[in-house]
Amino acid sequence: MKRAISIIILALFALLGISPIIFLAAGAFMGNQEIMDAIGPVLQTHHGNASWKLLPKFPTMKNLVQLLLDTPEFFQMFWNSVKITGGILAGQFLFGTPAAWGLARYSFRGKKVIYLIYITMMMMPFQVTMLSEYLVLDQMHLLDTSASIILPGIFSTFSVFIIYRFFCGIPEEILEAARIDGAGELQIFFRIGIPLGAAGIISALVLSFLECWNMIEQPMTFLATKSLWPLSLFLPKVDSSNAGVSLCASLIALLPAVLVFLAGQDYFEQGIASSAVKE
Amino acid sequence: MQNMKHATFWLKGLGVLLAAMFLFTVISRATDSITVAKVSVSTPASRKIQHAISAEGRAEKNREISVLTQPDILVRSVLVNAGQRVEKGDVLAILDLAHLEEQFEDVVGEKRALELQNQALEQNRRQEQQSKRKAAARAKSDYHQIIQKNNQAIRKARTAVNKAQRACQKGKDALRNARTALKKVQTETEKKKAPLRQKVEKEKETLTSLEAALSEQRNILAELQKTADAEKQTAKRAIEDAMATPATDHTDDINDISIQKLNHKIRKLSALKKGKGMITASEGGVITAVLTGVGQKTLDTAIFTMTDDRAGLKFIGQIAPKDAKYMSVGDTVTLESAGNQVEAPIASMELDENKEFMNVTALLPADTFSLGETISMALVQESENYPCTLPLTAIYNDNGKKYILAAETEDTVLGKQQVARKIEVKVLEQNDSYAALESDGIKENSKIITDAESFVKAGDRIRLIEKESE
Amino acid sequence: MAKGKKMGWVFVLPSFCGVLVFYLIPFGDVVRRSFLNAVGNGFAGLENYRQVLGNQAFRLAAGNTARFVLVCLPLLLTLSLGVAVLLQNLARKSLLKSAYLVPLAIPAASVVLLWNVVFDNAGLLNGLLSLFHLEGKNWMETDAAFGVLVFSYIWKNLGYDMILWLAGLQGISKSIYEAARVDGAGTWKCFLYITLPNLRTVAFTIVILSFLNSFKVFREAYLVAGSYPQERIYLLQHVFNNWFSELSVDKMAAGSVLLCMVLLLFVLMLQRSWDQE
Repeated sequence: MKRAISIIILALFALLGISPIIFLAAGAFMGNQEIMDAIGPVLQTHHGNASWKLLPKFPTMKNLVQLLLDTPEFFQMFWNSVKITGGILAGQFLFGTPAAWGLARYSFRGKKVIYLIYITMMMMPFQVTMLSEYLVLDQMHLLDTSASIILPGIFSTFSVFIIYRFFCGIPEEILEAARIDGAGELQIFFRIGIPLGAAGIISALVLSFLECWNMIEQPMTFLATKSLWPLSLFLPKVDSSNAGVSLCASLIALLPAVLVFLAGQDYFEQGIASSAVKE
Repeated sequence: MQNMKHATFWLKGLGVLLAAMFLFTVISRATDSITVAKVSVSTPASRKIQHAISAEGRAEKNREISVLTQPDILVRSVLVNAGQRVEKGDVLAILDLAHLEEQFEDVVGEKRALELQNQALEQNRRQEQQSKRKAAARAKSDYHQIIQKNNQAIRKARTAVNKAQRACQKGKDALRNARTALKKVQTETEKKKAPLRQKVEKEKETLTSLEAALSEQRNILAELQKTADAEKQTAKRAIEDAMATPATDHTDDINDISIQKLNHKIRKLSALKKGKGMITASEGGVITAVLTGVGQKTLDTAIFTMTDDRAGLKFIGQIAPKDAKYMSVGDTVTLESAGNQVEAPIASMELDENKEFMNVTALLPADTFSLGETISMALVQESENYPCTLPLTAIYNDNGKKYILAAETEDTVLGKQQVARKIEVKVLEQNDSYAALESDGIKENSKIITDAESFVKAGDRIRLIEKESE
Repeated sequence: MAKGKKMGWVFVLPSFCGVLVFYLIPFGDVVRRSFLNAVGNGFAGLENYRQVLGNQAFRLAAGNTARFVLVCLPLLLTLSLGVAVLLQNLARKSLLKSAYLVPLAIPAASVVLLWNVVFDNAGLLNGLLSLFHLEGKNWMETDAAFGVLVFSYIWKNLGYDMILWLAGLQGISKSIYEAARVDGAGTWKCFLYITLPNLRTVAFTIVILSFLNSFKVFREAYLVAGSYPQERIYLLQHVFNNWFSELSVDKMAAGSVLLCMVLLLFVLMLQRSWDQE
């Protein structure tokens, strides 16, 4: 009995969690008329209250087809998102992994300071660093280029921290054994560190992916050229003429994030958990 | 392992999604390149708007003359047709000589009759004048006689009056004497007085009768004078009546005019007679109309109309009334036919009866075109220089509101894109290919869409067709 | 661990250079600018700070942000702990767990549409309320907007905190519970006397992480309500954004430094809590 109640409560919360996906999935296959009937009141074209159905009454691919065939803008933004996200992830892997390794496995002067700096950076909301980022990007003439998003993103310290937590979990004995076998430090990093820390790296990348795919403030601040905008800025300024297409666009925008989430869910959880408890 | 399998499933899903997105990217780009209208653009140029007006026309005679002759004469034969060229002196028609003769005689007879009438009138008038003079003389002598007679009677009456006056005077004296005598014997006795008194009484009675006779004589005189006056008046009137001029009569004058006319006619007719009834052309030219026929009587209006060689040629053409505003009398037009080209000013412009065309005429210089030749007229009218002109294809019309579409570079999600922007314009002047616009709101270097491969509306994305030379 | 001091630097250096170039040095510049006047050439002392602290918008936003944090954190922590505890006892929990984590993956842009439809004056929520004959509100334009913001923060971060709690819960060995049950303790007692005390260190970490995360709610607030939202949800982030678009570099710099210092305090606390683990 208790169990049933708890399951129902949990299920209700869960439903709330995935409600946007249901909402978007249903809306993406609705005809424009049906959408207007449902959310017309919000757009001030209809009276009464908005309503929503879990399943479209007259499923149609029309809006989806229109989005996919007639809206090159959407693809431009989609690939911008892919470019930015891909660039940042690659950079984080390239720079973050060694840094995390260095911080986790070696002791050197200034390590504590650097570590503190990294944690501080990771915790700062964008608004704190906005001005400083703007100043340096301006100096480097990078404003209004994709690099203005990708480069600071690469050096975001959050992934370093996650990977660091995982690298810390590798027992020192394994490394010692390798050293005794005559392995160089680089070899140890590539042969032992990366394979054993893979979960951490993947966790960091999954978290970063979701973060980057969802990035709004940075592109909004640094990109004036619309053709560079990522999908997250495809602001659903819904009006009566584009509601259907906007719903489809929102659905497709969330698909990669959901897929990456589903594929890396375990790593994702581990990554989050690692910030609370050590492995 | 379960985890890995799970993960790869979703990763595959992600891969499929990306592949699909790539595919659709290509497809949507492809559709885009098909659907986005390709347009040609040009920048507004400073230009004069030329209005080319052309018309086909003919060289025609500048003036027509009419051939006249005497009316009401039978036409024996007509020798020319409309359109036929004639030279000066050519016979156009022959009149019936017998009929002409008859007409002549008629006219002469008529004239004679009038002359005779005039003579008769003259004679009558002379006789009348003579009798009038006699009557006047008689009235005058009557007058004198009456005056003489009356004067005599009046003189007699006056004498009678005078006599009566004198008698009256005597009577008065006698009475006075009697009364004096009576006074002298006042102291005397009545016996002595009585005869005297009687005498006074007797004298009084005599005077009274004498005075009565005098007033009678006076009355007679007044009566006589009155009568004399009346008679004198009557006689005077009789003289006046006799002296009065008779009522004027203009018949002879009118007849004189008629006679003059007839004389004129006679001269014409005799000339015709002399010319054996032939009507000839007075000038070289072309017969434009024959207005009589064989067996008909000549009219009092023209029997032929014909052109006059001496007057030269003119161009006549027709233009549409809408073009007329670009043309005015005095404008120099180019007239051209096979091998000939001259410039001439427009002499007149007027609407034809149906108001469908505007007839334009221009005088042709001598010896340039031949009569009837087809001539094309051309006029290029240049406007003032407009700073902002565009090809007519750039102007769109939406319910009478004119607008143009400018290609503007807009920063869109797809990068720099050309987008059509609507600019409302006012057309100042236009011809078949260009329009002059009010330059407000149109930038000098803006690219205006002049031609689109498909329909373009404001806000549409467009692609500019590359120009080879630029 | 102490092998090759130089190697450590070699590994860290590329990343650190990037951090230096993109964050630290420019932030140093920002600190410098925070003491300069607006044009950036004269020393202004603490004038900028005084101005920022006296700024009406800044005060409003700081108050709102503080209230937001104070309302959200307890709510989020208890809710997520409850969910975590309930989940922990379930056998097949992965599906539910996914459902809680999905909001983290859903891009704000995708969800904004839904929030608009739900919270509009004629939206789904008011429609739902009217079914129960309750009077709806114009959620986005009244003080209720604050509630919307709290809701969207909790919706987004419930899964995150839940994972953190679950990690903490996993650290408690089952044997303690078994021993307690043997002693006759009920579920509630177990929770009060075993679970909660054992979670204390983790809880501190979670509080601070949640606090820092609460600054990211700005995305939703911004997307739903724009640059100048309803007064109650005008957050510090809005102030910063608006100063930025006005290019008030002086205020921006001083504000950044101030905010950074406050957050640094919390980061140091977080650091200590980690060290205690």
